Amino acid sequence: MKGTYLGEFEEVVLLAVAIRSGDAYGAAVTSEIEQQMGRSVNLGAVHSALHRLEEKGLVNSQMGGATAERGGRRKRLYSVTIAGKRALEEIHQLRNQMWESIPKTAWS
Amino acid sequence: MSRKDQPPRWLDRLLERFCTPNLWEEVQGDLHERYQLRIKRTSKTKADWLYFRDIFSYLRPSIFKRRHSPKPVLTDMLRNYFLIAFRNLTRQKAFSVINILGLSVGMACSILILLWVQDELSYDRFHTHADQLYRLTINASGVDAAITPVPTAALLADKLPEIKNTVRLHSDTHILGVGDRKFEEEGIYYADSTFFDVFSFPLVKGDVRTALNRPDGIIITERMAQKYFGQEDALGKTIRKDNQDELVVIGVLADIPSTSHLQFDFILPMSFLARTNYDLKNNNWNNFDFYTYIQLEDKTNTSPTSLANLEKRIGKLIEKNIPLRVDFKLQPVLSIHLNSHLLRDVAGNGNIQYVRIFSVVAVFILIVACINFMNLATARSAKRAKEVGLRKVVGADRIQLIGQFLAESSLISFISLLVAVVLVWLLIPFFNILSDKQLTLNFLDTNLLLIIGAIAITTGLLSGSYPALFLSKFQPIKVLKGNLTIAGGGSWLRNGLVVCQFVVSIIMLVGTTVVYNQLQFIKQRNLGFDKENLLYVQMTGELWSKQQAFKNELKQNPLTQNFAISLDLPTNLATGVVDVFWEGKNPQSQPLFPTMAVDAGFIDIFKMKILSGRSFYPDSKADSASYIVNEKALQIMGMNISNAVGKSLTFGGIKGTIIGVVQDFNFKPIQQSIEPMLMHLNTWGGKVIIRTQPNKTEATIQALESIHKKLNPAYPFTYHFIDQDLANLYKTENRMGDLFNAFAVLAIFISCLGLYGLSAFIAEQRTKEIGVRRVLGASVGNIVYLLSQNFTRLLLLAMVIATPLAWYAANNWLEGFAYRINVDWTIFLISCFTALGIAAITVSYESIKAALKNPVKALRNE
Repeated sequence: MKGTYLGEFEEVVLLAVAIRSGDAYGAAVTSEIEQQMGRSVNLGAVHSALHRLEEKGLVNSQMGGATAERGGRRKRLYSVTIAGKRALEEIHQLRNQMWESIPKTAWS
Repeated sequence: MSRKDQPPRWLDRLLERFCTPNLWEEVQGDLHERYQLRIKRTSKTKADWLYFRDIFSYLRPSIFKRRHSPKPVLTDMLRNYFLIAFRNLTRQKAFSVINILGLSVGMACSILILLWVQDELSYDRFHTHADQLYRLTINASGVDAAITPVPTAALLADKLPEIKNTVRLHSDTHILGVGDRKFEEEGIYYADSTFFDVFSFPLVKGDVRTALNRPDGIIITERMAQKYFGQEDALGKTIRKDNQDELVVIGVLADIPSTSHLQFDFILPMSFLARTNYDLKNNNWNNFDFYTYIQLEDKTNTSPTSLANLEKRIGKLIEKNIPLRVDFKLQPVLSIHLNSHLLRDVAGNGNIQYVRIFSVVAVFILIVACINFMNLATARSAKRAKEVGLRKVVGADRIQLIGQFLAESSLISFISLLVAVVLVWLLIPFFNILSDKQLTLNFLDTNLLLIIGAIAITTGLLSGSYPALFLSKFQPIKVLKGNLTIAGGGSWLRNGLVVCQFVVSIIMLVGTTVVYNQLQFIKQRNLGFDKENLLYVQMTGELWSKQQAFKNELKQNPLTQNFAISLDLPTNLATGVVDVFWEGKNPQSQPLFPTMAVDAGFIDIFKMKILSGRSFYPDSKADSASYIVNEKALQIMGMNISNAVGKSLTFGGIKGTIIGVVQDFNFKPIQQSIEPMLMHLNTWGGKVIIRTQPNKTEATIQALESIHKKLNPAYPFTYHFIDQDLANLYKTENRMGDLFNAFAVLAIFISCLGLYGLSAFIAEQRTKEIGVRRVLGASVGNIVYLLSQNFTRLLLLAMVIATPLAWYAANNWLEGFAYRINVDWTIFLISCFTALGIAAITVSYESIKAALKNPVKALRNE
């Protein structure tokens, strides 16, 4: 199904949400990705990916607490749903399976 | 946190603008958090720049989209309002039909009147220089006239720098022909070559600049090109004028717009007329026979004072050339159609009074239609009361309820507008016949659309306002307890509105009666001569030279032997002289004497009455210095019937004697009173007037035609009737009378529609009461009386209010006529009883129906 297909960037975002689990909101997810991947990422792109993930039912969200540096605005905290977890596992498994299918001769 | 380490505010505002509200908080928060992080790590400028970039990264559809925003309550409520409105409309079909029919008929009337008024007001606006165009008019001896002497234009153009262009016009009638086809054409103007500089009549073929330079040229309209040359190209073809002059078509004009005060079909160069015309040849100042139009320089100050100043200077310039005391006036061309009723004016002018009357009528009709709506809505409010109560209980406030009812009335108003537009579309052909216009409903005319839209909205708001305020006032607790008595509260206003409606209706009825009576009066009035059975033939071509033979021929036939030859007709006499002198005349006074050149038979043919003295003797050269005057002239000259005959009188430099006094007769439309009249002997010709024997008109015409063919074969034979000419004088009045009648009928129809609705409602409300009364022995008559007495009272009140208003309005209109009917009480009595009768029929229909109903049925259902 097209709707459940996970794009590369979406996968990264979903992983970052999982890493930051419990404190995964827009800015935090972005810095996580930036740290992990070592390149700068657009906040807008992350946000829109998060929305898409939520639409696909891979994450859900609730409004969380506010901090001073946010100007008193609340954050939206995302957490990976069971479906999200399953999707990540599936990808992981798929990759492993493919890794294992590479013949040794390929590297020589 | 200080302002310093905050991101630029305008960027925040930008985000606020485009970001969907439910996302805005988190997005803004995240952005700020990252900004704070960056400001710590790098500089503020860098952070600001990155902030800017971040904001722009949010310019994506998922952020714009108001996906999760809940629908505003308002749209749901609006839908509910319209739903309820529609349910109400369909549930109460009879009332809805009455409402919508009344409103749409009212609107259709208003739109038609609006179109008519718009057309009347748009005259001559198509000229490019319309605002700079003026016509020079004169006032001499208290008479205003549209004509000026020939040399005026050139003199003014030469001496006054404010004047950019002038053009003189002279209207004439000629026989025009191509080959054997000949027509008597009346719409002919001689014009100076500046004609097309001053006026903006578009030439379809030919060259505007040189169009009038050629003395033997003629410019014709497309209509005439079609008439004379059919499909062929008219340009360069020749038209023969009066059987002798060959004119070359040098231009074809587009048909003259109906909104032009100048209506014509042919333009001939003034230079052509100058070959023969005495005034033009000699630059004659003493004859007033030409229209002079002036185009002022574009930047001329046209305030009333500076125009008055200009008029004074014009007067000064001309003064020394004319022996008469004449005031000159500049009349704006734009005001000619509606505000000009001068001597020798162009035909077909309108009247600003009618524009005003009909505008008022339009507003009245619309008000009457609105009142219907208000009345029915308030009367039926009891049915809506529960709904209002419930809405209030669940939290609607008054404003919302007002909004609901206004939306409802606007809905009805717009439905009515659609019906009205269809009605107008259907009725416009008939309206055009009635008003002699070519109006169209042009939906591309934004002005018109705006006005029509405004009418609909105003009607909606106006008619919805009272019900909205009234219904929204209900207290929920009283309403829901179920014992609401609304009839008391709203009834005085409802009654007031009914009175209002009938005041309007009665005024319109009185108006119709007065207009009708006045028009009848005009038709039947004794003009001082017998206008029936008179026909006349213009002497053309060879008839002038063969006058004696013509007379002999006429005398030989018993059908035509009763004839007279006169230069003028007593229908709309437009000449006047001031050079009449008598013994004891005050040299300071300059009374204007209209004159007629008549022959011996004239007085007999017209059955005028000689009060003393005699008429001219037939074929008597001795009477060339004899004059006949009318009673009014006697009064002016200070003579009386017994001593006037034999007194000497000088006219046009010829000293003669008064030989007779004729009883006053009307020789102008009866808007004007009779002026002093001087008749002298006609020795040259003009028109041959024949009194036909009753029922032998056809035979007479045939006899005349054969005489004409014999003596004057080159000219077409045409004849006219005096009584038709007279009737034509009052065409505008008749047309306005017809229109007024139509609108009066419609106003009364709309009023009655409302009254019918109201009476039906009340009869329905009192069904049980009527049932009980019937059971206890009331007769049908009693019940009908019970139900109608309230309306009768209202109508009586309306009569009392309407009578003085109608009296004032009627007298105001009648003031325009020198001879008029008296507005007496019978007119009011007739109108009031008509209104009463119509209302009684309307009300009694429902009342009788209610009274005849089986009381068992009314009472059974508990």
